[in-house]
Amino acid sequence: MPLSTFESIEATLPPKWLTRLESLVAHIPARPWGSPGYPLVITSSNFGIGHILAYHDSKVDEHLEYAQAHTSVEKICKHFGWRHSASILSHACVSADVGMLHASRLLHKGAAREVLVFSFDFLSPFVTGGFHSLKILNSAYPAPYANQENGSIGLGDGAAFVVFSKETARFRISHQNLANEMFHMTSNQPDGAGFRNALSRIASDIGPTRIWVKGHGTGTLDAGKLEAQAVAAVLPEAPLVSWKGGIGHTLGSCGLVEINIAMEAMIHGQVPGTVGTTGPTWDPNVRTQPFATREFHGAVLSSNAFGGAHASSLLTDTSLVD
Amino acid sequence: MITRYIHSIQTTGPFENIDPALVKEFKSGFPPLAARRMTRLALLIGKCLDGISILPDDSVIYATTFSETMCLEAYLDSFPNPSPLMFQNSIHPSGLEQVLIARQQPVSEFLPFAGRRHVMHAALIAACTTDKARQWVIASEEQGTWLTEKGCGSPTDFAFCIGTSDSPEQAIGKITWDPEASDASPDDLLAISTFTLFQHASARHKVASYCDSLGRVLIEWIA
Repeated sequence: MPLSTFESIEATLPPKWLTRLESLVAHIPARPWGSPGYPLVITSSNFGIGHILAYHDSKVDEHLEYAQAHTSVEKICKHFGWRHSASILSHACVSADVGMLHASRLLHKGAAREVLVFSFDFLSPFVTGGFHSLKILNSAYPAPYANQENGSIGLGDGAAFVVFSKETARFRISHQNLANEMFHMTSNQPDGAGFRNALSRIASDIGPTRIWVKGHGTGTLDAGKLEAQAVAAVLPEAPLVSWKGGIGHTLGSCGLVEINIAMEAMIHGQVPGTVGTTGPTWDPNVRTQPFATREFHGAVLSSNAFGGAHASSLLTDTSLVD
Repeated sequence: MITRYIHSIQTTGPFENIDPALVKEFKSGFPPLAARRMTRLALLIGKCLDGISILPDDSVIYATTFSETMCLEAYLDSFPNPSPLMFQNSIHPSGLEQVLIARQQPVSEFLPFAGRRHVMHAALIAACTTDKARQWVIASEEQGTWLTEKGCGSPTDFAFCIGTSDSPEQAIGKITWDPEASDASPDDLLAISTFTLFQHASARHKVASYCDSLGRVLIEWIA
């Protein structure tokens, strides 16, 4: 079930995704991004890849100016007046998480006063065709962690940013972790060891902190079951939610889109439940209804990707814990 | 300043119009079932990593500008019935992932970079910023057909792997990152592509690159 936010996923010239980003970029603090002290980290799993299929079909050369990682980022930097010195990272659906880890390191190693992490993923026939070919995109709406016979994912357009600073701010990201099973291109170790190992690392780091978990939860059956069971085994006190039933899977940008939702949840004191899931779930920890944040010190945010990639981090609201 | 010491460098290529017999030879390093599904880019990387033992706690840093060019062409040609294998293999960073999956080699830290002008600059900085004791900087490109003609693919096939660590013992070179450098010096490269670094590293040439907001990276070799 493709859940594009916008009317059409066909590539246009100029790209409508570039125009769509304008309203997001308007919220980015004014800094000399890309200049000394203010590095840029740009991530995506798709960049402008939809334009390469558009070129293949139309032979209109202009599509190629947006089709690749470096050309689409050059266009973005030029469009928004950023100096093009961006570090570009792409690791399928953990792209944004990997970008945030790299940004943290730039900050902590003294390369930056602030780092802008920016991510964008817009649907295209290239991407939806690929997911359809993998037989995980069907007519059903996604129901993450639901104990049912068939799974389905919903794809969504997504773009988001965060600004990392060493200055004290309301929200703190810490304990950033990566792990890669390298078991199979599109599946995880069937015994769930990959999920458990990845979660165990952050669980041991954070100790007995009261947290909730924002899982990856795309709506696929096997990965959803493994993830829910791993959370229950490693973080048995933590409620688990996924929001992809509501916003779709925003692919490489999901980590950045969802950290923004998590911060909003903390600001408003209420965590959205697992949208789209109504029946029995793979584990009782899965919360389908909203719940209050006041009992929790923070949230573990997890993302997964092809190749058995895992990323997790701890988001804390310093106004509550410091 | 942060320094990483270079302990090994392995290269494959460059090849222009690579002999298919050589590609077939590269397959011999993998189980037949895996090799049959692997892309040429993955096989190039696999050949380059021959004999290299990546440990689960190492940092693996991958850089490519054009990524899976041949696979991408095949995926595009498969429409309107898109190929699932070509789709999954076309996704960055599939080239190195295919190799590590064929080896069943889990890694705790995998940082895949894309881009062109600063792709190697950023990847080398990643080697300098990780907390892992050993780092592998791996880069590769493959020649395409119409994508290369259109400037969207590499004109040659090549791969290289630079092994680094925190330890100066038995080092053959070093990478130094100065994050505070705020101006380019006359000898600095202002762009360092995968192929540029392949050439410099293969020849053990000293190379310095500068990037606004990311400082200077210097690679020096010990005689």
